[in-house]
Amino acid sequence: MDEAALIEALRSGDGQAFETLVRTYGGRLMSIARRMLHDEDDAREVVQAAFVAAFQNRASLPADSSISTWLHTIAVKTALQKLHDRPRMPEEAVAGYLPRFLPGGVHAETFAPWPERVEVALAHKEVAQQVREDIETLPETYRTTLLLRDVEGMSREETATIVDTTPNAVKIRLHRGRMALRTLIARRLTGDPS
Amino acid sequence: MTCRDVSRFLREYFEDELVPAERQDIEAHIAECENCRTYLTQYQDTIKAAQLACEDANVADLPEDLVKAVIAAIAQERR
Ligand SMILES: [Zn+2]
Repeated sequence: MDEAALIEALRSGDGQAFETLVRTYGGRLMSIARRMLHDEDDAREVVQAAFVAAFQNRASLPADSSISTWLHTIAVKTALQKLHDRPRMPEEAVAGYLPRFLPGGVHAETFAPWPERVEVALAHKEVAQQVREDIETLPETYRTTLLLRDVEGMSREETATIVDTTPNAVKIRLHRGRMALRTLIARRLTGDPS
Repeated sequence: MTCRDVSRFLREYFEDELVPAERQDIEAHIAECENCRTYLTQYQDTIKAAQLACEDANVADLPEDLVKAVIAAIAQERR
């Protein structure tokens, strides 16, 4: 079935089409939910709730749009609701993972080059797994922003709308999230505590 | 321009949001400062690493029990 025919069937509420949707996109939604929520049971709940929401809102699937974009947005919103239902943990500071400077603005650390090109390093399954764990380690607001911008490829404005903040806050969180993740990856790759 | 300034404007640098004079200042600093060169490369590599780590190739199929549960939940909706 091509995408246009599938959209048509989904809009009409066809059960077979929804099963195709679940089988085709379920794994991808599960990994987004896992990365955002950092909890297997919550991720399963979110995936289920997202598909139910997709069914309920099937009329909002634009005939000429991409199914995966539509579904991603629903899944991300569902995962964020879940995050916000959780008791609000004090946001751990990322300060410990950001670069430090000496008076005069010079870097306090010397950065060791990474031993392999990033494409080569990430081709190792265990390194890819470690980087996913590093992403999960980031405090929630930074993790969500980095995932939506750098991994899901959402625009700054889309991200700001979906997480209910300003585009400027998205810029700042993205930059800090990347710097913090760099530190975590550097520790993995160079075994260096810097 | 200090290392701190370079680090502050890295995102803008990569996303091409700086005016030419600011770009030139950063490039002049980087040409002289090996540590900032390494940092800049790693900042870019971090973005790539996040994307590579989360690529579809690393995505497993949805567990069959969850597929069944989702399909049942949707069937419940249509009643
Ligand atoms: Zn420098």
